[in-house]
Amino acid sequence: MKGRRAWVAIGICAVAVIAIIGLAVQLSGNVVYYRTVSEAVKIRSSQARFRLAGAVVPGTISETSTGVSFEVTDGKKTVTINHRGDPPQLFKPGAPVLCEGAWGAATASGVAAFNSDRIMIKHGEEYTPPKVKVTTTTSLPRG
Amino acid sequence: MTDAGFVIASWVITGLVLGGYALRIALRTAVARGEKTLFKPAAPKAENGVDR
Amino acid sequence: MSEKINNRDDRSALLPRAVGRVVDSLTLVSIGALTFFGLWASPADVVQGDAQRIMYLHVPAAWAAYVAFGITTLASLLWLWPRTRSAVWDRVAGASAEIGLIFTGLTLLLGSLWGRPVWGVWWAWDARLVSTAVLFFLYLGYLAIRAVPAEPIVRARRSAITAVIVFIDVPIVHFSVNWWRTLHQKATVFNPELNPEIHGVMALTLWIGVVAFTLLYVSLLNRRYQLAYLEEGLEETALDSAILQRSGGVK
Repeated sequence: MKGRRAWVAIGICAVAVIAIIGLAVQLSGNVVYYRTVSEAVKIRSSQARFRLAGAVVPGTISETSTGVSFEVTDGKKTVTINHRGDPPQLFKPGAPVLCEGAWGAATASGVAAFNSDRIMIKHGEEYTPPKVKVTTTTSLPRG
Repeated sequence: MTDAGFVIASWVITGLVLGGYALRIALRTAVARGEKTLFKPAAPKAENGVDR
Repeated sequence: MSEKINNRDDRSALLPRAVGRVVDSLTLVSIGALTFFGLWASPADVVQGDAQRIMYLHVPAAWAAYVAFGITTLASLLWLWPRTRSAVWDRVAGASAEIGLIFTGLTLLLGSLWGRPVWGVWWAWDARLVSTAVLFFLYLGYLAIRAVPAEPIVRARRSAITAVIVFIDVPIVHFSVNWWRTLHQKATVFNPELNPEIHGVMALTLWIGVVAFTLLYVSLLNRRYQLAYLEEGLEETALDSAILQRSGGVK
């Protein structure tokens, strides 16, 4: 009875340790969770997958046969995103987004677009009711 | 699911998790109290071989 | 053995019965108020809409988890310090850690339910979310270590040292959003500038949530402590009778 209890406890400990190691390994690959547009354009020749952060430029969203195409900006640089699939619920002009994917091949005009297959909306830590005068509703990802 | 659905789900899950936990403590306490009153008189009973 | 007897403290409850009742009632009232303010009285957020209401549970749950683990650490230190060593602190540490684990699990569940509508994903491998999951498993491990049968004093020392070590993750969780880039937003209320970026009824609702969950924590801790005391008594009675039987004292 006592021996069994000890083994169950040690088993749970082992599960916890394995889970923590697994989580740490996952995290080590995500230390830089996203790159800003300016940082991303510096590695345009790379094939690596990463997350690109920027605000959706109003007036650039267009539906494509496989999803949506739009531009994102960090205020300094702007790039075109080709997204496969449906954008999330809160996707709209001006929304701060993280697009997960990789750079595509350079087009005729010479600049590659970013091929994304997952869009996440990054929210700020400010909360306001709708009728209050809002200065900025979309905060650009910082850092 | 709509936004309202997520909100309702969050309240329901909170109620289930916290209510369930509080209930578990209450039940275990009742068992511990019950055993405690049963256990002590059980010791002299064992002498007669009636117990168990 | 004599060390164990000195260590025995017969405080059967943390709070006097009347105080416990008051805390229980205040807990229920504040949870009612939180539900009213969270679901009806507070306005929907301009960006997130109604989904933002999940914050009124998610943030207080995370806060209560921090408080619970803080108390576990404090109680463990008080047990380790020879002058204040008492079985009371060992029970408080264990009880508080279990409640903290429940609140951490709840925080993760609520965060997932909030993330899906507003981020577009249930989960993200960012530093805040992963360090919180690590926190969950650290305290699960702590409770498992507590469950390994041993002499009470050995078990208490082992647990206290573990508790102090695993607490390191709590500040990591809290500051992860400032130290690393995350999908998760930064702290709204407990931010480094101590300048909450939330106003009016929304701020009030969040504060009601924090108060409600803190009261709930105290109420649960009081009950869980009492249970720990009762179950310890049972173990001792069982042990005593086993010793008696083995030595032929009963038969």
